[in-house]
This record gives sequence, C-alpha cells and structure tokens, in this order.
Amino acid sequence: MEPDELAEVIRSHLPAYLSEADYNKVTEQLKRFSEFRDYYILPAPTEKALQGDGWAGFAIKDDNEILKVRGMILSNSCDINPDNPSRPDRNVVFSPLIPLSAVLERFSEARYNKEKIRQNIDLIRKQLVSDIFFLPASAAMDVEWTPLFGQPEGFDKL
Amino acid sequence: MSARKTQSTKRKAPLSSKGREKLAKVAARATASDSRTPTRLGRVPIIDVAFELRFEPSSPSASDLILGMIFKDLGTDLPNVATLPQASFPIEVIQSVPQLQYQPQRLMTGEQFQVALGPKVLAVLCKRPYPGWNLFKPFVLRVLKSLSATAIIDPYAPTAVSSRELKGSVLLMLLTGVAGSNLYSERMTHVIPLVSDTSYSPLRLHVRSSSQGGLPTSARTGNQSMREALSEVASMLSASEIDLDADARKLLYRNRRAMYVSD
Repeated sequence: MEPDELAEVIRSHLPAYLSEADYNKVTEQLKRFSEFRDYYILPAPTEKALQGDGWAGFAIKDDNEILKVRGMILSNSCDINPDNPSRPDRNVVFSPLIPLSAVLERFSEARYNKEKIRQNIDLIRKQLVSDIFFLPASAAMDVEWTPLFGQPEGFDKL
Repeated sequence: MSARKTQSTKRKAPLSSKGREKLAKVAARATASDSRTPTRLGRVPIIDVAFELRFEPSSPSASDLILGMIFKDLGTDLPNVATLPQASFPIEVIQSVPQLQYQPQRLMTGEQFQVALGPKVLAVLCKRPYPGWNLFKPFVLRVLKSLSATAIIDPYAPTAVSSRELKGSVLLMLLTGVAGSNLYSERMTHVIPLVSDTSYSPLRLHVRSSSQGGLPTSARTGNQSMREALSEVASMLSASEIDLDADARKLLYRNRRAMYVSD
C-alpha cells in the first residue's frame, strides 16, 4: 500500500469529531507510536484458554521427546471458549514464548556486530516486524518475550 | 416618487371598523395557528444549540463569584461542577490573552443542560439530542434570571459592542445541519467540540454560526497537521527497510525450538 493510501486509511478510522487539541494529541501519539505502548497484561490465571493468553505446559514432540513449553494462544476465532458451541472452522495453535535475551544471544553467537544487533532488537521492541510480537517485561512478566508468529506450533497428540 | 408617497399615505390611513374586524379575525386565526405550530420536528435539523453571553466583569474573579451565586438557583439541575483545563493558566496570562478570557473555566453539568463560565463569558449548552426550544429557552431564561440576581453583571443590558458603557452582549446560535448530507457531517465535525467539556470555544462558535459555512481556521490547521502526521506515519510503516535483516530472520526461525522455554 502506498504511503498516501495508507495515511488515508488511517485517517478514515479516526473519529471526525475530534477537537483541534485532540487532533494534536493523536498526531503526537501517532508520530511516537512505536515509543509509547500501554500493554494490558493480566497476571491473574484464567481457567479457560482465550485468544492471546499466555500459558505454560504446551506439549510438543521434538525428536520423540516431549517438550512442555510456554506459549501464546493464537486462533482464527476470537470465540474459543469451550463453553460456546464449537465451530467447524475453528483452529487453535500456539506460538511458543522466546525470551528476548535468547534472541540477543543468538545474534551474538552469529557474531553480529553491536550495531546490527541493536538495530534488529530495536525493530522487534518497536513492534515493527510484522511476524514477531514483543511483550515487554511488566509486573505480570519478569522478562521480555518474543513469540514468533511466523511459525506457530500445533497441539501434538501425545 | 409620488406613487410611493401615495402608498405610504394609504398604509398610514386609519382602518375602518370593517377593516379592524377583518384584522381581528386574521389575528385570531394567527393565534389559533400558533397553538398548532409544531414544537418538534420528526427530523430535527438542529443538531446543537448554544447560548452565549459575553460580559465585562468588575473583577477577574467575577466568574467564580457568579458560579457560587447561581449555583444556589441552578445547583439542583446542574449539580456537577468541573474545572476545565483552561482554568490552569495563570491569571496574568489569561488577562493578557483576550481569547482566553472567553474560554470557559468551569462547567456546570446536569442531566440535560450545561452552563460554562469563563472570565468574560457564560454559555448555556445542552446535551444531545437537542431537546427543543420549548425546553431550552426557559432554561436560558432561568440562568439569566439567576445571573441578574447576582448583581455582578446585568445580562439584560442593551447589546452593542461599540459602546463601553454597555455591559453585556448576547449571542444566540442555532447550529443546523442536514441529516445524511455532507453538510451534516461537516457541521458535526465542528459542532461536537462545542459540547465537549474541554474544547468549547466561543471564538469558534462565531465562525461556525456563519452562514458561509467555511471551516474555522484553527480546525483547518488541525486537519492539515493531522494529514502531515499521518503521511509521516504511513511513510514509516510502508518503508521497505522495516524488517529484520534477511539472515537475522533465518537465524531466528531456524532451530527455533532451542530457544523455547521448558517448564
């Protein structure tokens, strides 16, 4: 999409009734959109899996070995609550959580120079890479995580 | 010229008794039809209404005094009093910037109406939908009566901006739009801030009440800067270089399971 076209798409999603002061606020926030993000992360455990939840204990087979890993639930439906009637086209996968420190370590092991590492990590932290999500450290999570959305894992039969 | 004089003479001629009877019938019919005048339209073209009174206060804190005094009369209908951001300016700044003197600093809000008060301005606003003139007018009159009782300003003083002896100027605006048309949406854009508690601006009211229908300068500037900002953001998002290095991407996805965290 061309920048002008994209700008028009964004504009069309903004409320038309904003006052000048509010427009200025939005403008300012948009210019700095990659710097300021308010993440809404609930530390409270839930009993039922929902889209975007982080869970531990996802089982995957790896060379006949069963790994139980942490991951984030992804689905093509926002309605995956098991209490609701099942939909035939509903798919659920999960994206294992990778600590950002592990990504950093991998770049370092590949002998990337400091500048290259900084650039790549910066892109991830600013959510500018479309298939790599970034979860900042917060009260609910002690470290930074980067689920790789590009290749999620399925639920293997054990 | 002579024809005009003749017509004028005719108009001024006293009515005959028959003429008076006819006039009385017409007046009676008019009165009867007034009572049948609809008070509310099915599709109300009025989308907002504001009544504004500008005055010259006797002291910079007159509006605060007014608020306290009219609250006695209007507090039951307007129980919530909010301080608007404009009130945070130092009084010296407000006194040196004329525009700020017409910005409301306090907003009294009730179920249906609002009264905004600034150093030199009082405005009566109503929440949407516009409840109709038969409700709005009595409320404005109530506010004026209460204001008059304060004896701080005289809201009924004749209006003439040119005379310094006169204390008040009344401005009444009915902002209208046509539902479903571009005009409506354009007006909506400008009207909604009027009822917002933070961006009501008497100066914009003047511009918007103009039948010219032009955009207020400030709003145009805002839209312009918004477009520029959006273009900037869009360019940033569309830039092809926003991605990991190709080899970095491969490095991450290859043997990614080694980075998973086991419990």
